[in-house]
Amino acid sequence: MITGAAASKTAAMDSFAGVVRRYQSLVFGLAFNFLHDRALAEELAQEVFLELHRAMPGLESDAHIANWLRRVTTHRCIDCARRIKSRPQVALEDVPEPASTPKRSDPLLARKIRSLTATLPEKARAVLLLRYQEDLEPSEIATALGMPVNTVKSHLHRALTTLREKLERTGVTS
Amino acid sequence: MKCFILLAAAAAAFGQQIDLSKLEHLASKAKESTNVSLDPEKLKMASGLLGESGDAKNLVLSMQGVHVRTFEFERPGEFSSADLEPIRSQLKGPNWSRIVDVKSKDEAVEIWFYMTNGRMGGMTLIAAEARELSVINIVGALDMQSLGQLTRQLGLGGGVALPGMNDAKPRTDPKPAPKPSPRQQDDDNDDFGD
Amino acid sequence: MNLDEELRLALVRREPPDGFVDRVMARLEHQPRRSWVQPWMAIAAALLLLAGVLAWQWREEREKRIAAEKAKADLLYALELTDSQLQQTRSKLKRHSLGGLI
Repeated sequence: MITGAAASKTAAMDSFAGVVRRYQSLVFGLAFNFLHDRALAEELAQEVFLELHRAMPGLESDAHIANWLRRVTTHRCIDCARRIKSRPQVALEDVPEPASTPKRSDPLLARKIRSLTATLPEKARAVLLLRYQEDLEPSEIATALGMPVNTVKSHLHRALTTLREKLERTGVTS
Repeated sequence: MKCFILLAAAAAAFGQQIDLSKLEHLASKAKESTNVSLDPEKLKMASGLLGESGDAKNLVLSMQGVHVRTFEFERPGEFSSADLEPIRSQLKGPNWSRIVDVKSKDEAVEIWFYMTNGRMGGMTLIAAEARELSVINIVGALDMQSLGQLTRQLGLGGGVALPGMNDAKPRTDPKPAPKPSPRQQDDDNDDFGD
Repeated sequence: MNLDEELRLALVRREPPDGFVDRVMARLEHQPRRSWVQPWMAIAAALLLLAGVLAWQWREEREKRIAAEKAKADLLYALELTDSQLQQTRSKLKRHSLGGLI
């Protein structure tokens, strides 16, 4: 027989499991696209959700939770990348790709884009991911990363320019 | 075992301790009165402040009680011999012996010893003057010689009347410094001999 | 090539490996509970408690000391009174050549 307290705890855990399920692709996606390391990305994603569990009492809505997750995940990714202090040395083509690549994209191009994204400076990388994975406006990115909007736009512009140049150098033309 | 010893000690002290509360009715008539009652626990506390070495501490620890009542009256005749009967009646036991009974025109002093097998186990002193009454009861194996030794070691007495004796209040000032002996005075002079 | 579009397609959200939720919940179950009590609060509480105990002990010692001082004062008074009475009585008895009695 489950006591009242135990039943309450079980319900709370079930509820949180539902939250994890709902946002796992957001968090893992950001982590993987940023770090381009599957194991690191999962470890980081787990840590983010453990921290989310502690922060849950202070979060009021789904939008609040999503914004919180974007902010915390991105910051952790930046910290992690700085700790590693290396752009990916291994041939990114060899990094196993998780599933969920949309069918209508060019898989090779997508792979190339992801590998080039991983070579960008951390802040620029974060801006790019929040813009294109999460579809955030520059003002929202500025809030998430704690930087001025114009700095966000500057990072974005430079990142796109860099990616375009590198893609052209590899023979991918617009 | 400790309990038995305490009971035995208590039983032994039973006869030597005089109930001085029988004099309390005089307090309302007195200008000033003093009440000192030191049981074994308080004597132990007091002995702790007498220094670690020396016989004084041991002598105090050998006592089982010290009880004092003093009364000072405005006028003569505020108390009579009848007021002392409740005390004297307690001294009629077989172990109590009146050793001294001195009477003069305005004073009377009685000293009683409690003796067991030839050994002193307590003392009661009743000193009555025209306007003052003092009753002292000491419980324990403290004979006159030991009492004198104790007062000397504590720097008390020496045949000088108590300062403020007529105040009948417990003294709280520190004990008077012992007078230097002539030999000691010569030694002091040597400090300036160079 | 529309880079914006290609970036959106490339940088999609990704599902983690199977069992991710279970692994998170398992870690949550075994995580040591974080107390709301911060370390500095625990230290401050311990110091306060220690200060309280020391203050109580000091007060107890002080009260014992005061009681002992009073007992000593009472004892000295009683002994002085006794000695004084005995001295006076001895003087009177000496006048009658009975001073050796006490």
